[in-house]
Amino acid sequence: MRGVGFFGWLKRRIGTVLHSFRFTMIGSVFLIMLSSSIIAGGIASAVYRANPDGFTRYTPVVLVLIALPVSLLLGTLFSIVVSKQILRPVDDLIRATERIARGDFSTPVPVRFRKNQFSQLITSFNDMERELSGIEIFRKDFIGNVSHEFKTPLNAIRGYVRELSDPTLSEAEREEYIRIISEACDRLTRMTTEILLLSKLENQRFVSERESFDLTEQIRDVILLFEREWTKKEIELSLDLDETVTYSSNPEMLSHVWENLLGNAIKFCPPRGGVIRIACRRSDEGVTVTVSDNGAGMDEETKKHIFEAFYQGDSSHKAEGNGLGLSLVRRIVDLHGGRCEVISSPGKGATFTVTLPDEVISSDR
Amino acid sequence: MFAVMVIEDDAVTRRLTCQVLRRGGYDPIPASDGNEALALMDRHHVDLFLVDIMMPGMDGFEFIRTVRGSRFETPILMTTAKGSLSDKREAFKAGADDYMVKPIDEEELLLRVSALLRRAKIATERRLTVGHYTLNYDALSVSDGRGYEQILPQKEFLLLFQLLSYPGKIFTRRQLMDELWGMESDTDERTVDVHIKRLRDRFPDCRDFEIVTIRGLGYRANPTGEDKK
Repeated sequence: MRGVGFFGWLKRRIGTVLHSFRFTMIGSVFLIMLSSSIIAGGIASAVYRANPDGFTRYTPVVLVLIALPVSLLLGTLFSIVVSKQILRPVDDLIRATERIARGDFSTPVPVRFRKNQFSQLITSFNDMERELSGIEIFRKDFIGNVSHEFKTPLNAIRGYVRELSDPTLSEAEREEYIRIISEACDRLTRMTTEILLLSKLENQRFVSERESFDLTEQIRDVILLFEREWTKKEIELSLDLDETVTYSSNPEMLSHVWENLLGNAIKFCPPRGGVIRIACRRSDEGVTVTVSDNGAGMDEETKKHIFEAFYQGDSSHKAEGNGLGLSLVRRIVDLHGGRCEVISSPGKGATFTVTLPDEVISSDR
Repeated sequence: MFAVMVIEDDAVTRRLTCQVLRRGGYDPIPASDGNEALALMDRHHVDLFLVDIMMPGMDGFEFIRTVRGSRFETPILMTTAKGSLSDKREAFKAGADDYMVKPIDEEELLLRVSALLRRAKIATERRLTVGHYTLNYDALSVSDGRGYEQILPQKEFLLLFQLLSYPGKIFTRRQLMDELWGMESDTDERTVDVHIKRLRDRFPDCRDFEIVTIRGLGYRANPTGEDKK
């Protein structure tokens, strides 16, 4: 609220009127009329001064007959200049629309007026253009990445299947090849499942099938889901899940967030002495969940791209994932209107913090 | 050998699932849809059903409802390509005991089948043996096989029974609460801690099992005797 009571209302009302396009038009017409009449008056008085004696020879009708065409002419000239100026944004928009239709998202439309409906329209238009260009880049990259990521394991399968028909292979080699093929298949399966999920989430505009549940219990369930993995790596778990945190969401969808964060933490934990800390707490903004590991961590560049689909900071772990997990995480958190942040530096482990608001704000991206 | 009926419309998946079950030591009976399965049931004894939801003819839900409607208590494990919550809910409502989303990991399938069969066996026998100890579900009694038998308060008995039914599996306090006190109960989760403490006091030098606290997560019963199963 900028102002209180009647004066506040008046101030806002006047502000709205002053910034409206209608006011610009009315103002322009008023100025044109005013200036042309001043000029006409000036001409009349100039004629009068230049010929004070002869003035009496002309009746006022003649004077008006001179002043009117002059002011008409001047007014029209003014209008040509001013209208061109006023309508320039429309021309800009027409040109920009044609440009975008051709698939060119390069230049935003300039904002010419300080603050009226036109500049608002142009700002929204530019936002739309930026968004469209983002989607376009995402689509092109995505298809490219998907094809590449599919091709690698497929090639491995094809190659090793052909090798398997070689009768001179030793039993050990045969087993090794079968293992490679089976791993490639697992990778394809995982990727297909995740791409399906991601595309389903991309088409979703809000969190459906919401219900209230205990978030800490859900996180415990996810931890138990990974029991085999963290037991095998002898990871020490430090859990702060004692508070009961009731939250309303789609439990199945939200579960993917914890699964991916914990899966990553386990994956990046050092082979010996791994520690994972998980905390879930109620905060002023809603609920905050942190998952941190003491693994290799990541540099600034990696942090910047970590939530993008198919991005993988550390290529040595390539076999274990496809770079889709964290983009799933971000999409789900976005659908909740929440935030997902990462604190990390090389050698210092990584801490992911997810903040979910209690207030249900449906958001697109 | 336990007979597992595999009801799945896709021939390749059906054959693979049967192969996996055979390797796991079960006797698979393939059926391509609900109607065929019902027809086969007349001629075969079935210990567990593995049912796909999406099938032409009679689908998985309808099949389960038919089976449960005829008062068959045979355990049912559902499999589906769709992982939606409403599907899962409908599956449990129809009477399924467990639910798996495709693609199915073969090892996990075997684990779940064995867990379901184990639970069904306990449910019919109403007793459980761990090392020297025998738990009698109807009498709420635990005997140590050396002539000492004690009767436990109901909740304590159920808690011990639950933990020992799944040796090595971690249960959260909430899971134990839901199992023992029911979903709607408002009982404090710390009640579980109190019962666990009493149980430990009851079996102070038991060498066949121990109840372990997993910090931040819950409890697990470890069999420690020679009988690890």
